[in-house]
Amino acid sequence: MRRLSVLIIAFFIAFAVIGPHTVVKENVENWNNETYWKYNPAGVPPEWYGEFIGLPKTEWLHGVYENGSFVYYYDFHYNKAPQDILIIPNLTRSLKISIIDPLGRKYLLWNGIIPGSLKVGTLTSSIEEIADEKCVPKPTWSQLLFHNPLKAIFSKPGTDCVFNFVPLKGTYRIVITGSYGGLQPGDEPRVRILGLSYGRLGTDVYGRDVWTGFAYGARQTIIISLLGAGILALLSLALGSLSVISTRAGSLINVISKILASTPSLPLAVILVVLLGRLEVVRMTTIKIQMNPYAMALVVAIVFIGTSSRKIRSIVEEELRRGYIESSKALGASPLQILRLHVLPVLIPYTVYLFSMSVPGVIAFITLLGFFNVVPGFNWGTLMSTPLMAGIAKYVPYWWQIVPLGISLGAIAYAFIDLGRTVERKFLERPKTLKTQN
Amino acid sequence: MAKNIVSSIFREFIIFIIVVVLLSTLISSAEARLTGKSVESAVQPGKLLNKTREYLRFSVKVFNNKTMNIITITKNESTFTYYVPTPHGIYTSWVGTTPGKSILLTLTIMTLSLLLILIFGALWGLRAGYRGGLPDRILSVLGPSFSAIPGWFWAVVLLWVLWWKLSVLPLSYLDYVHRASVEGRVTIFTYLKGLSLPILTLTLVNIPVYAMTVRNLVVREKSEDYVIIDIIKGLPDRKIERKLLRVVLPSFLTFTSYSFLNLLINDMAVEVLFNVPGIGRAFLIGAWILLYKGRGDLLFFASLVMSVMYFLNTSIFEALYLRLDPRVRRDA
Repeated sequence: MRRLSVLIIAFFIAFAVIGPHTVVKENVENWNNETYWKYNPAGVPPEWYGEFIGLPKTEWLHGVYENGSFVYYYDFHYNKAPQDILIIPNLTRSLKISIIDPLGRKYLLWNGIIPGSLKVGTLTSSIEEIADEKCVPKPTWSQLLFHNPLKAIFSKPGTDCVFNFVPLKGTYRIVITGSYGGLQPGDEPRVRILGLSYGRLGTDVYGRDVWTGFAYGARQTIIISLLGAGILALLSLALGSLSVISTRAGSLINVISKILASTPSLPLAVILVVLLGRLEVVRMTTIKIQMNPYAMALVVAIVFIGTSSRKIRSIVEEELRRGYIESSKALGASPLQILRLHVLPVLIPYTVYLFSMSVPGVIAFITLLGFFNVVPGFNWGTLMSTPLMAGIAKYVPYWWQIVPLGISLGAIAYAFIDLGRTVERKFLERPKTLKTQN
Repeated sequence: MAKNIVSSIFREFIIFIIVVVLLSTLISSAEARLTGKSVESAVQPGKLLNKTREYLRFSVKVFNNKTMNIITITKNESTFTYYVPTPHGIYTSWVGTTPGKSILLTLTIMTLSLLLILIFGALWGLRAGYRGGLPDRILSVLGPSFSAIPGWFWAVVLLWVLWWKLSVLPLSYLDYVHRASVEGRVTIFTYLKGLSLPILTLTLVNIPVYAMTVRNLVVREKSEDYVIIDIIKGLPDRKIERKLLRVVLPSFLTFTSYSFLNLLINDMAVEVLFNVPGIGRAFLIGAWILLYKGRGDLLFFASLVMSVMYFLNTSIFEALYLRLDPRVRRDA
């Protein structure tokens, strides 16, 4: 079991190192830029899941220049129609766009200037004409709108396009040419299929790539949790043990630790993040909080130090009540000598135990901050801030957003708790015989 | 005994006052930083005192039922009327309910959850620790996983099952109660049904954690000589369990007292997730107003309520501890 725990920890450390290299840097920089993600389908599952249940994937199509036209070949072999087809021209002249199905039927989709980009699913009259020709019974526009207008394009002729969609599989050709004369080879427009699945971990409600948030956020999350738990364990050890000494400094430390234990952690964390982070206004509506992961680790340690140091203090107090300490005192040992020689050997394994138990706790806390939209830097809390930003009415619990995070948290928690318990079993549990000897 | 309790509550009260001053200092520093002022000047004793007084005045006025101050200025035969929202108006318009109701909602969720957690946690832990067997084996698996995986994750799991898949319980408390009030069918059960997902989440998340603590305390205690003698004497298990519970209760109460802040954090997240207009929502909006408008009074109010809750919790549990722990009683 211990080997498994070590393997899990090693895996996540490796993932923290490699993960950020698997994402496009531009995606990270534009995480809070809604318009950047508009070319992605919103709220779709991962591609590997789509493969299982026949969902079309999201992809750019490559055009072939043929006699003044660009032809895009789309191999449609899925059970469902894609969410939409996006066309982005790179010139302002009037364009003629048509689609040819595998049976060779040609349908005109658009003829005119495209302002910015064009989504085929929004072309009401063209889609209605196709539906009139192909679908039996003929659907109304509202029926098509609520059940994906592209079903009219991708359904078998003579079938019910809306309620019993039968796909017409094969290669579709999207032909783009100039309305008045052909296009030049350098005029290639871009065509993107907005499928019903996307990338390694799907997209969220804004169309953002969940994998980007997960893989890029892993590094900071792991750094903050390991470092934060380390600082927390060491500071708790110092504060908890020194607070017992009955000098003025000891009493002061005791009061500090008691105050920190009584301060609500959430407000403390939020305010410290505001005070120590670098705030950047993004497009007037969003504030991006930049924070060094090391500073964040310190914040997390300060937030939890109260409770942890009180635990250490109670262990020290329990130890000081033992008989051998009394003997040591009688022999003239100073409080610091007693702490160093007798109490510290008991506290060090406990500190290791505290570190192990704090790592998952710190990760949990970071993700929790995301709920309150206080996300310092880019970590797993960034992913959690999404449901809230979307608003409760728009919030849909997409499993591909929650499950990977939950599994990772569970695995990390399991590994560290297992190691913590090993430390507890080896060093902290006292056999009864030893207890009676004392 | 009573003297001990009073002095312990007094000690907690002093700590509470220091915590309030600390929060006020930090929030006013954050305000200064966000509005481009110097943090050093914000923490000068005079300014700090004024700011703390301002925050406290806001926190008191928030309970005053007036929502608008109307200011009329007449100048050159023209009259200008300005509507200035009061702290109460700011609170109700942002949070969606009055501060009294917010506190009541949070207290209801916390109290009901804590009661259920204490009862079921103590019973399960006692049984697992003393008798072992299946309850112990289940607890050994669930305890560590529930203590490490954050509450929000289980909240999402419950939400997915009970709202998304089974449609048994409502997701948004606010929407559910509003709809019921429009349809004229609001009873106490409407509120309870609206709150059931948050309460269920907090309870289920924490029962294994609390049960694990009781179990560990019982396991340590059951190897003591007096328990072994009881077993040899042939005392029924229920009697020994009752005795063990009495012995481990003080330590369990200390754990409960220290875990309160953790429970409060989880409650805040659960309130936000299930759209309950409690103190969690007030905190969320307070943090937003601080970040985007540079005003920390609502955040201070939410933090103050949290600190008061913690103070009350510590005082109650400290008093209970002093009453229940025989060693403390004897000393007294």
